[in-house]
Amino acid sequence: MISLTEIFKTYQIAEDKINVLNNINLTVERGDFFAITGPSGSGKTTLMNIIGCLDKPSSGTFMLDNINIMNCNEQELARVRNLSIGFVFQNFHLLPRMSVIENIHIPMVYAGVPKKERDSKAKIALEKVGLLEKANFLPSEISGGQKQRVAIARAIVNEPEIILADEPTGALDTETSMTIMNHFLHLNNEGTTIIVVTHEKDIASFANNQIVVRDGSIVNTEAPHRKDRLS
Amino acid sequence: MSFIENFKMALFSIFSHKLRSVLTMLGIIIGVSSVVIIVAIGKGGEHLLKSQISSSENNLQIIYQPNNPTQSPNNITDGNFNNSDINLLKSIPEVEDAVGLSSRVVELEYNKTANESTTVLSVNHNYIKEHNFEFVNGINFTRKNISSGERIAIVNQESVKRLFDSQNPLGEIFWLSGQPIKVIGITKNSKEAFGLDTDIYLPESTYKVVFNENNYNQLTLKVKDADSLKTAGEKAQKLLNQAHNTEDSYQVINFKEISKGIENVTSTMTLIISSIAGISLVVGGVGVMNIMLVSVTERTREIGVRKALGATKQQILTQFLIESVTISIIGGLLGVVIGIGISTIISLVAGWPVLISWSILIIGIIFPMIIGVLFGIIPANKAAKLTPIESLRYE
Ligand SMILES: Nc1ncnc2c1ncn2[C@@H]1O[C@H](COP(=O)(O)OP(=O)(O)O)[C@@H](O)[C@H]1O
Ligand SMILES: [Mg+2]
Repeated sequence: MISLTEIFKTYQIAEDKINVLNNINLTVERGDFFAITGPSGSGKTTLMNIIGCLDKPSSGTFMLDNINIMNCNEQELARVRNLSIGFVFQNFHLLPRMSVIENIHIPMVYAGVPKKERDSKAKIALEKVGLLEKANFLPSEISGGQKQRVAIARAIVNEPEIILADEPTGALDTETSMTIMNHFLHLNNEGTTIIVVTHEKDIASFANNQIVVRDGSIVNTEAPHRKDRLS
Repeated sequence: MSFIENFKMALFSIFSHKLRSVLTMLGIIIGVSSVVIIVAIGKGGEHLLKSQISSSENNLQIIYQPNNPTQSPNNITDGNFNNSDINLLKSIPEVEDAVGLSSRVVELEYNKTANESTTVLSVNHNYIKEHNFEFVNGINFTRKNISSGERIAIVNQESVKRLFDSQNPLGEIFWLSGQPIKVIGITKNSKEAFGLDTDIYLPESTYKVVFNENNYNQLTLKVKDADSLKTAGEKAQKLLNQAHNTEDSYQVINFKEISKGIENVTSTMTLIISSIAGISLVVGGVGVMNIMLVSVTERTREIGVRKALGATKQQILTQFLIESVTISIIGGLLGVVIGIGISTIISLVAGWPVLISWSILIIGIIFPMIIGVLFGIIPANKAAKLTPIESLRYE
């Protein structure tokens, strides 16, 4: 489903060229729960942003669902982000002046979903993460774990095939992290492809497939020891 | 994404930053309200001047006045027109009617106090018909009064103050030229731009007897068709000068042309002054651009999130453009409201009429809209061009 071939990402800083990603080759199958691990600064986020069509590689081939992303224009990329991908970020990225439910509306607004349908879909998504009663709260009025659950609801509301989560538990305590990961596991069981970036072993252990990135290269591909999956 | 959706989002953003929004609008508000005030006062002033010139009559009027007193056979205040002049003018095919009026300044005697000098005007039936007297007290002359020579008069409020010590003179007797005259009506003050303000109106027949005067010193021509105004005027001028054997002592005053001239002057003035005020609109536009640029920087993360969630360049551009247009239009409407308010206060305080026309909606909506687009395009474009990863990383 996701296929990266000979991906390079280079940043030009003053005179120097720095290779942030070096010849990345990667395949993610439909329904995978995929973990990208590695030390800080190794290029995980850069890779994630490329997979999420937020950024373009300097060279290489990127196929998503048989679409050659390298040939897409900005508008087509926006459409892919809108409908095929759901993002969950480390620091939640909820819009602070909008209520929880209004935040969940955003992807549907850009997808052109009519207001009534948006309302019911947003409620269903909120219910899935168990936060229906917080619908009209502002992000500042709920806890970090709850914010991340709202972000998950927002990520799944357009029913994307892939969810990309960049250090989704990085700002949360262990117990809350487990709740969040269980939500991902649940979504994965329903058929959604999940890609999680993390540097924590505990978190990576939720995945059934894992790569380790170091200095912009994949150093090792392994299937981690999996925790018992939710039935 | 629909326009309504964008518009709601713009309103949301405007209302969640109230103080900033009001400050942004301030330039537009000041610009629009000053243009509204200037146009309203200008139009009001024009209307006032025009109404004074043509009085309450239609503007198909010509008045003859001797041009050069030394060349003229008579003095300006004496009756310069006799009945044969009037008949002469009536014979011009374009002329419907020629009406003579007499007026003079005389001493008025009342209650044995010091004599006061007053302006007395003789009026005929036509005059009554065309100058809708507004009575505060008493009654108008009847058709019979005009010709019967009764010793009666109508006075206006101003002369009540000046000549009758502000006491109600209705039914009182005063003396003109040694003859007793009774006040039967009191009218509101008339507005006359030319000639002397009339204090006292006498019926034509009464005036003739009291002052032993058969001629007229004012002559009004009524023309059948507005288009023949000029021709009729030229013919009348020629005929009178021939009859009295003068060069150009008889001159035509075409009120329609004077009125047009005033209109030209006032609208040019209004245009000039409101263009100056319009500059503040442009300054207001720069203010909008300034704040929108700040707003884009402040909301870089928001833009990044929206792009990650699927917003296209075009959608972000539209969002910010609609926001700047909305803020400008709200400012414009507030400016219109404030402008109308201040114009009304000015008219109440200064007694100067203000005319508020629909054209101010152009000033209040269309101009700010154009300004919103012109000055919103740079910030909106800046927002649209932000790349998602850089804006998401922005702290
Ligand atoms: N826009 C950029 N310009 C220059 N260098 C960058 C940019 N973005 C990331 N980098 C560099 O690329 C490397 C990888 O960053 P990142 O992908 O964020 O790593 P990780 O997510 O694994 O911590 C880092 O050294 C970072 O400094
Ligand atoms: Mg990272």
